[in-house]
Amino acid sequence: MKRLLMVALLMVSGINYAVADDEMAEREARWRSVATDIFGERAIEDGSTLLKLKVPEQAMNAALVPISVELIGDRPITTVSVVIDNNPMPLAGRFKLGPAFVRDDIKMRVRVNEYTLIHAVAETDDGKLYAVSHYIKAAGGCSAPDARASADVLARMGKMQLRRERSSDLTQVPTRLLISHPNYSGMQQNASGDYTPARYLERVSVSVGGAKVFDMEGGISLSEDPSIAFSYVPKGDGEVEVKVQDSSAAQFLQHFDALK
Amino acid sequence: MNFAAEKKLSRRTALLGGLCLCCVPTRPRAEALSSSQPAAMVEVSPGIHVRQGLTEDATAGNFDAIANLGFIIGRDAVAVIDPGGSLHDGRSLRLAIRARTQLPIRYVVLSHVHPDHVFGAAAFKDDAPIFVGHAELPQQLAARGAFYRDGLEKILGAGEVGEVITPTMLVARDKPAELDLGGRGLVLTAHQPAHTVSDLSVLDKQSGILFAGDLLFVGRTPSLDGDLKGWLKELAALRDSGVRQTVPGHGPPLVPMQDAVAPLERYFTVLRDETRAAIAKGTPIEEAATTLALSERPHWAMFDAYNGRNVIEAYRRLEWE
Repeated sequence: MKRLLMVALLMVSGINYAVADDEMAEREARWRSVATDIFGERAIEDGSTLLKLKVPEQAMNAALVPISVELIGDRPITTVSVVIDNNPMPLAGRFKLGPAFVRDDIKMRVRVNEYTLIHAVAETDDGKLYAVSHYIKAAGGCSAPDARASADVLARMGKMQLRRERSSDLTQVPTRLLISHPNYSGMQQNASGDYTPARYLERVSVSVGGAKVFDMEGGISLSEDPSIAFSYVPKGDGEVEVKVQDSSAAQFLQHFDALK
Repeated sequence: MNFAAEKKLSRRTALLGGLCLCCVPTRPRAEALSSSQPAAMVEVSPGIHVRQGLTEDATAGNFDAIANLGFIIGRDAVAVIDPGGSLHDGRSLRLAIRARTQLPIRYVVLSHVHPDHVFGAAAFKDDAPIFVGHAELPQQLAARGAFYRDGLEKILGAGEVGEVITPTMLVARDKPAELDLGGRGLVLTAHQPAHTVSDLSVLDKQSGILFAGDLLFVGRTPSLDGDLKGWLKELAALRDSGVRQTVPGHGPPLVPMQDAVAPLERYFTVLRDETRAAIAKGTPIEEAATTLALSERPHWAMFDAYNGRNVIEAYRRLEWE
């Protein structure tokens, strides 16, 4: 009996290993192909001393998955990219960081279309790339019908909110930028059964008192009503300027007074 | 056994209209279609029969028979109020009708867009009934029907999910309609955005019983897919409607109206107030999803599967109020 059990256990674990190997190889191949598309043939090293990626194991809502990338250590980082490997448009956001960016967390809400690795990739000032990854179980996020219940929400397209925290540390302002935008993925059906054409945030630029916080390149992997959290270095009375351009070339500009 | 293939299937998780179609692999299909048995009904009042849905998410084993379904028999005809969550579910409801009456099935009412309530409709096609829904339902089905069907087919297997049937008799929000089953009138009310944007309720004038659809969940954690504040308004209206007994979309076949409304009002008020406070305080959405409304946890089945999503749904809307 004991021996039978052993054999069974071995068989089970053997099969499990085989599955895991297959899957690992599949994920690795997908990442290589996606990384080549985005970063070319450049080498990408382990980034666990530069970045910490927080992703839920399983999403509660695949069309709105909150994730965060924490910048750790002190090597200068110029760019942070978030890549959702198995999404139809994997690059969710590429942040070119400016002098007014505080080295802390970047948080965003993304869509996840199927079970996938998510990668965060940092580029250091010497032009090298470093990546960390996390697997997530979620599906259907890109094709999930848009959640807007009434027409008034379309009327607020392009409206923005800047939610800032007053902290005791005067050298940085924890901030969350909310942009009202459907960020249509092109995979969502509408009331007539047609696919709503893709219309997504292409570029989000944030500066304070003329100093750049970041320029972000977006995509369909950002959730509806995108939300981006970061911290910036205040510049006296300098106001915060947010410029947004979507893939239909619509531009939205908003200024926010310095936090008093 | 092909473990890799099974793993692929079981990897699917889909969020369908706030209803979780969880990761259970499809079972062998051979016995499925032939095994339709009449659904177990409860006659809650003369001529009103209700099938209580399971307190589960859709799996291959339960054919998505998770919503309360019902039919009302009049002198001349029968009306179905929610045909079920799959072809199999619809067929077993139809068998239950035919075990009781041979009157024509004249109306099939679709209470809202969610898969567990509508995908049995195709089982009634041969009866050529009039399919009835909220005026918003055709657009909602156009936008979501294929998405829901794909998600459900991954769980139940291809062929088990009925086609999407679009209602032809539509009820507008400001204009209740009436169906006549022969000396038995049913009043249809199309509600403001609440559980979904396509909620329709059915009042049987003879008994005074209201089929509330998913405006009412009893015991099972409600899923928010429409408008939290709107739902609270509709609950207040139901509370004050004078209707004493109701068939909820999920829960026991018949309950006193106050017993159904009060817990929902309490939960949604807690959800709304705590979500507003979290937004004001800057609590991140991912933290809110796991920390808000937990005082409600003892009161609801499947709370952990739905409360976090409800928080996310409430949060994303309330931050733009």
